[in-house]
Amino acid sequence: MTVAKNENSRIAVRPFDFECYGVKIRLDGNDQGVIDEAERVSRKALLNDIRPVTAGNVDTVFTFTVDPTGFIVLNQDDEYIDHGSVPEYFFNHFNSLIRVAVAERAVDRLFIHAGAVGWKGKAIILPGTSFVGKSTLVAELVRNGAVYYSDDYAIFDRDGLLYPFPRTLSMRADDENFTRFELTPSNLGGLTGTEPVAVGMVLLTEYKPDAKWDPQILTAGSGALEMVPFTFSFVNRPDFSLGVLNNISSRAIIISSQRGSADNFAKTLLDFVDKHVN
Amino acid sequence: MNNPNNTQNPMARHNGLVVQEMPDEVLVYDMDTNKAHCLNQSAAFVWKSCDGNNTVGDIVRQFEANGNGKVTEDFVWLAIDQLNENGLMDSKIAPRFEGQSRRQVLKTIGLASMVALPVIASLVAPQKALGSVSCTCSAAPCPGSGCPTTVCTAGVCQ
Repeated sequence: MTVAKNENSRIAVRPFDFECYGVKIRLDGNDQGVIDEAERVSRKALLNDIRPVTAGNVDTVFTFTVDPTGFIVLNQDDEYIDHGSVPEYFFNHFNSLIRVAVAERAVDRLFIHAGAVGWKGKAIILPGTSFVGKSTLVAELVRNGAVYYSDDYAIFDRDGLLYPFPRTLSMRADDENFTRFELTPSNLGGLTGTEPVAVGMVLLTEYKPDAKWDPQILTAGSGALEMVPFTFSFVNRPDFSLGVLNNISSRAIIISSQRGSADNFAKTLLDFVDKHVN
Repeated sequence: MNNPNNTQNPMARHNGLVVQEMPDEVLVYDMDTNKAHCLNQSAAFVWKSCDGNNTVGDIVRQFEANGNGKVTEDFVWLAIDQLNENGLMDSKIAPRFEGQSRRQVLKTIGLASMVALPVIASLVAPQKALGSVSCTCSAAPCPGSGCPTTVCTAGVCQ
């Protein structure tokens, strides 16, 4: 990416407005090259499921301001968000920001920070924060025959059905720098889900070395409550969010347990699902 | 254990709450405090019965008439105390079991009850999702929690 350093470049700038899951977003700024890069990153982050729009109000605006030295400052709705001079890191962070912007405002869809796979016609949902091993476990489940739906954003309709959001799996190497690499389901010998599916199990878990699988069944209400911190739009739309959480947790079993390494645990989990989920 | 302030007819709070009925529980989101609560069946029954007209004795009778099992007034007060602590009552009610630890109260009432004790679980809903979602970073500070460290190294808070 080349960052323009012409202070007059604002004259030629063309913002990019688009809609995704009912959310209208504008990418604006003073440098066309940066806006174009933001559009490219947005398309990748949102699996190109975006539609350019040309008129009307937008729900949120990302503004990229490039100074004469090439330094970029990012504001969202006039609030400072980030700045940077290393485009790789800056836009990697923007990749997260744009997905959150959609997730927090999506119309008729609920986004939960969770990995998700399909298994024998039902979904297994793995809510969790970053660095608890969601992608690693999802990858192992896919390697063991589960169908890939998402490694970090599980998307539901108001009835609680899960929809695919199959980004490439974002993995971290087990080294001191957590070196990132990406995998596709086909790299794992697996398939990607294409149809909405009902949830069979919600598993609240995180990786701990030497942890033992000790599944505790939660009530539907407790399970829904435990999912609140991972629900993007909860504060913006609590009524819709609670309704969807109810529809998920009332029809699924909710399990809580720590787990050991994913390669050993994946088969244990699928066996457990076979026994306890219809 | 009698407290003159507790003779009033308790009234549940409704303003500023989002309520989701579940098969055996009730989820409540308090928009003022940004807390979500899960009321188990016993707590939910008492909460819904606190209409400003019912006395605690009335609630005991309704609880039993509803086929939930035999309970005492202390059982209902235990629920009201928890509802009160969590801001789910319309007006502040003097604690019934002041000076006693929750453990003592639960032991006393639990031993006398064959019914699941009223329980309210609560947590704070996140105002901003990104902190729990992404450990990517550029130059802005890393989130204070949720990532391995708060130091941005090679584009990740690690």
